[in-house]
Amino acid sequence: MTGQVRTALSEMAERAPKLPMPPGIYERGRKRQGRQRILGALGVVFLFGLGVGLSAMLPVAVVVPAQPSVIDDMPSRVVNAPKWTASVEEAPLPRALVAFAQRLDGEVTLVGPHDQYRVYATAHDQTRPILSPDGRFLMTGRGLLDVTTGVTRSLDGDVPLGFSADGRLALVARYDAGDVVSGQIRAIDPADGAFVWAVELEPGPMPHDVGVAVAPDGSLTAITRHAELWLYDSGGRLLWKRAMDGELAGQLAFVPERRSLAVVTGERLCLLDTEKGEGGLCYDLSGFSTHSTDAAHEVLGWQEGWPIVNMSRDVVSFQGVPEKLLEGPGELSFLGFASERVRWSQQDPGAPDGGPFFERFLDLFKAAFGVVLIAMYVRALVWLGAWRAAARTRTNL
Amino acid sequence: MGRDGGRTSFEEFAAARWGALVRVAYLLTGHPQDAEDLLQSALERVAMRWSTLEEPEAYTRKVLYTQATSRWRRLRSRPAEALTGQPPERPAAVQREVETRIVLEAALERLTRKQRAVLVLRFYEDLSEAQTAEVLGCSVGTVKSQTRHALSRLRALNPHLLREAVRP
Repeated sequence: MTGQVRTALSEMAERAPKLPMPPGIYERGRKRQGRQRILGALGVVFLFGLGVGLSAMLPVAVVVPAQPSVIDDMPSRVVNAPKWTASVEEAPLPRALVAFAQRLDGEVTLVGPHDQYRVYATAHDQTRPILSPDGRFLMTGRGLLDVTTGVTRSLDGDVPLGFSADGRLALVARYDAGDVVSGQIRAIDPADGAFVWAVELEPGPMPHDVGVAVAPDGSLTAITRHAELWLYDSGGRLLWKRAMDGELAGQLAFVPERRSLAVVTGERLCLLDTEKGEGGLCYDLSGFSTHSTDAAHEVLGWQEGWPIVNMSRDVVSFQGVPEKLLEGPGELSFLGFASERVRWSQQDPGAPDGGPFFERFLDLFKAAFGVVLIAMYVRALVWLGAWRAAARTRTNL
Repeated sequence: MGRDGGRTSFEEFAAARWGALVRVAYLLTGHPQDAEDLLQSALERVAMRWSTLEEPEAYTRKVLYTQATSRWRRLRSRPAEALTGQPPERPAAVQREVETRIVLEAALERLTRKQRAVLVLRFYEDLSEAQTAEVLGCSVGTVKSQTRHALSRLRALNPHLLREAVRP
């Protein structure tokens, strides 16, 4: 039978029509090549634009901020965020109770009420993140993140310093250019970025090593730099200035309802009298600092006048017998927590909740969407080719 | 190679190979218009890459066959041929050999594009299974199975061919 097929094919080939070679095939090929390149470029632009456009059209998830009447239970332990944890920018939280990072230039893990975990990519610099006392804002090298909306507002080059105790002011430094450290300490409204007040920095030597704390009632502002401590009143008038062997104990260094200010000197936390700057009670931290880290100890909150101190990995309350309130997942470069409207329950936390399903796997969905778009584009090209071939066939007929 | 030089060498190549390529295209499509369309389309693709081709003959052949098989999808706009499963009607007043050829050609029309391409490569161009697989961009196993299916389909459509094949 193959012989018959062979013969039939040969005879059929011999009877093939004698078609003249049409002119211009080469030019049409070159034009076709040009069209394909243009179509390819247009396709890339179209897909890119569609992706950007659809990303912009995605609804912004907004959660209701935690109500002032709600008191949240603090977890007794936090762990590393599970894989595929949603970004706080895609799935905001009512507030963050705990925020921590193992590297300053990596990712901050935020822990909200009911063991809700979120992550937030920081800028690739060594700016130390700061969580506001009410847990609504996180200030990093990227800017000021509103945890309840996931929106980050740029700080326009200002350096984060801290928040006021009530969380209504964000404090930043705006340094002048030059070899001498000068500029302003500026207070802005974290909700809208509006300027509130500023204190001029006296010129001083490098590096830019400035600490600031605002009293809970807003009446006093303490600024430290290079082993010196300045105290200003609410009108910006310097009350006193003194040398200090240490640094301010964080943004909550003022003891609520008392005329005291906490400073950290080596392994000691000491309270200074804000009237005259004289020293007073000191706490020995050396017995609790079991982990080596570059992060300094700082006051993260107060319980009836007793400090709650960040010991780099753990959080310890010095009310009565010192007690560990919170255990971190390991050595941390940054640990902060909300100090307002929280209750230290000492109950074991539940399993970490990585966020809503769609937001957790958003990257996968985006990749799949991209593949579908490309497939649709290729399909459209095939249809276009088929349409052109059919049109040409009809013309020939 | 300049653009004018490229066009000249391409046109020389196309003119020299046009007749042989028309025959192959006709075998692959079975219709003069489709053959011309297929060949022009394939040569346009060759022209797109002419300046970079090292073996234009091989590339042209590959494009022609791959275009022929993919055109099965692209030419769906053509009214579908009604398949009856019945052998074509035999002309009554022709000699038996002529009759067999006509019936066989009509049966070739009912093969898939790929089966037809495999038969043309194997039995018209006398390529081996490995060479056929290389031109079509498929495995040798696929060539074997396509050949087997094509022949068995031809036999099914033309039972008298089978009788002739087993006749001593």
